Amino acid sequence: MHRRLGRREFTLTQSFIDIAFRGSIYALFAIGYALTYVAGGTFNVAHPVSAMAAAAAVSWLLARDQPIWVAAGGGVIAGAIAGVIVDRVVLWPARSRGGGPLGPARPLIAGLAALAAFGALAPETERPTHLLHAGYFHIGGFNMPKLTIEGTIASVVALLIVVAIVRATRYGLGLRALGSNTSAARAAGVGAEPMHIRTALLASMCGALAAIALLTAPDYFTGRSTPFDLPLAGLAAVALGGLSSLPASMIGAFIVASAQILAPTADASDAIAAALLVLAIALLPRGLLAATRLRETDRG
Amino acid sequence: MTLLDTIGPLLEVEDLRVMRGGIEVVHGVKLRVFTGTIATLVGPSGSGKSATLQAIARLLPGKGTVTFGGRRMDVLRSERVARWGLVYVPQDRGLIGSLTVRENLQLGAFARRDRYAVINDVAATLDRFPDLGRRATARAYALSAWESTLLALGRALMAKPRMLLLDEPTSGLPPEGVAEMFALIVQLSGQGLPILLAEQYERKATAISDYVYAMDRGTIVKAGVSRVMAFEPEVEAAHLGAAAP
Repeated sequence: MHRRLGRREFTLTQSFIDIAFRGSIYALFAIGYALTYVAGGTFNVAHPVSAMAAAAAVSWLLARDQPIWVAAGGGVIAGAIAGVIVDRVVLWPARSRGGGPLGPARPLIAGLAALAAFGALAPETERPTHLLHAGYFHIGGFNMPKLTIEGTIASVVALLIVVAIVRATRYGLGLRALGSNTSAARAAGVGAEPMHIRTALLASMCGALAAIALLTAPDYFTGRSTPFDLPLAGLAAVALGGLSSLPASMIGAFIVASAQILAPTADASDAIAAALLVLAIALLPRGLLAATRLRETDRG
Repeated sequence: MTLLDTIGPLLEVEDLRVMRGGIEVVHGVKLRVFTGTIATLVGPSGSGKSATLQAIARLLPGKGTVTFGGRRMDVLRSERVARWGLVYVPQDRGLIGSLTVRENLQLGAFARRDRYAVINDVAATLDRFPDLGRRATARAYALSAWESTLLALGRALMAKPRMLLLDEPTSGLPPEGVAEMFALIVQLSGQGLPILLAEQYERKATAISDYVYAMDRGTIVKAGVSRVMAFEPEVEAAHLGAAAP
């Protein structure tokens, strides 16, 4: 079944795959925002640094004829290192000094500075277009690059792993406790700073993997040339779902992706994400799924 | 000199000063707790009992020295203090409402590395406190006051503490719960676990204690063995202070 919306031609299968692909990438990126917020109670505006570092590393490694999986691994490591460095060098000093006229805005401002500095210094990223045409899957009368399918599967698997880590590990227990009652968690022996470091590592790996997966997106349905538009979609996702809830931020991500994919034109993607962000802030100040929040200060 | 003085205290607090909201609320407290004993801080509401315990647990900033088992606690972060076995149970129980009873107990053992022993200890704690065992999968926010208190205590025991700091564990309990809680504290002490207790029920707390510190306006106004302190006017005044509307 085909239908025509504006300048884009759709099949239901194609729309479904597009939403799954883009939604899982946005969810992976948004979950990084949520994780760092749950652990520390501050919004990590510098989260995209890990995505930028990962994309740059992948681009650099591919330009040196490394296989895609080596490049992806290198990208994740680069993103993770960048995220932890930003957390320790930029955000931690800002977090640990309260008061003054800047008060709680201090980590936000420091994060913005880190983001701006990294954005200015980061090398150009090139999409691995030659790899996209290396093989295709034929699904429902629609040809999808093999690499894109693999990127989608990797994103979904990564999401499931992160949820399992938060739900079923000692680290996850500590994270949920820290987000719910920091003082009680510390009294029970949960170290706030070690948890921040581990969370920065996990969130950065999510951000890095999201950026790498987005690099595998074929041109015809993203209309994007770089992975740096992720932050806007990620912000809209956490604003819609709720910043301190992992399932909610994932649902928010799929809502943003659906709105973008079903829009008449691919050129409006950023405008749609921005509109959803503004609407969510105005109409859903606590997000869609209030009951699933992991940070106690958000309740009420 | 008493016999205890020849052993040396497990916990020794010297000249503890505690700041809360930029104001000093505890002024130079000095106290000692010996192995296998119960020491109790009594005093009217706002006398600085909770602030003292929180500062010992490093949950409030304080000045002065806190030595536990021969090691300075006042230079450590709160989680390190807990890992050293000095475990604080807050007055509001400090439960993580979104976690289940079982998960709260697991959280108590967060610093422990003996994973399999933790699993057994969770089961043993649920057996020990049948009221909790029946609610093992319930979220902590759904518990009654008595169940919450048991869970807070059970969670602290999961850390394998060398000493407990109990901040008004009978607060919010019905009278029968208060008696049961005091019996439980005596039982724990009988098993060799030293306890520093802050209490509003001064007479009952004094009755189960070995040593009592009477606090008022952030200072210790009287200290002594419980048999003597039970008849001191400061303890009586503290009791009246708590009972006053």
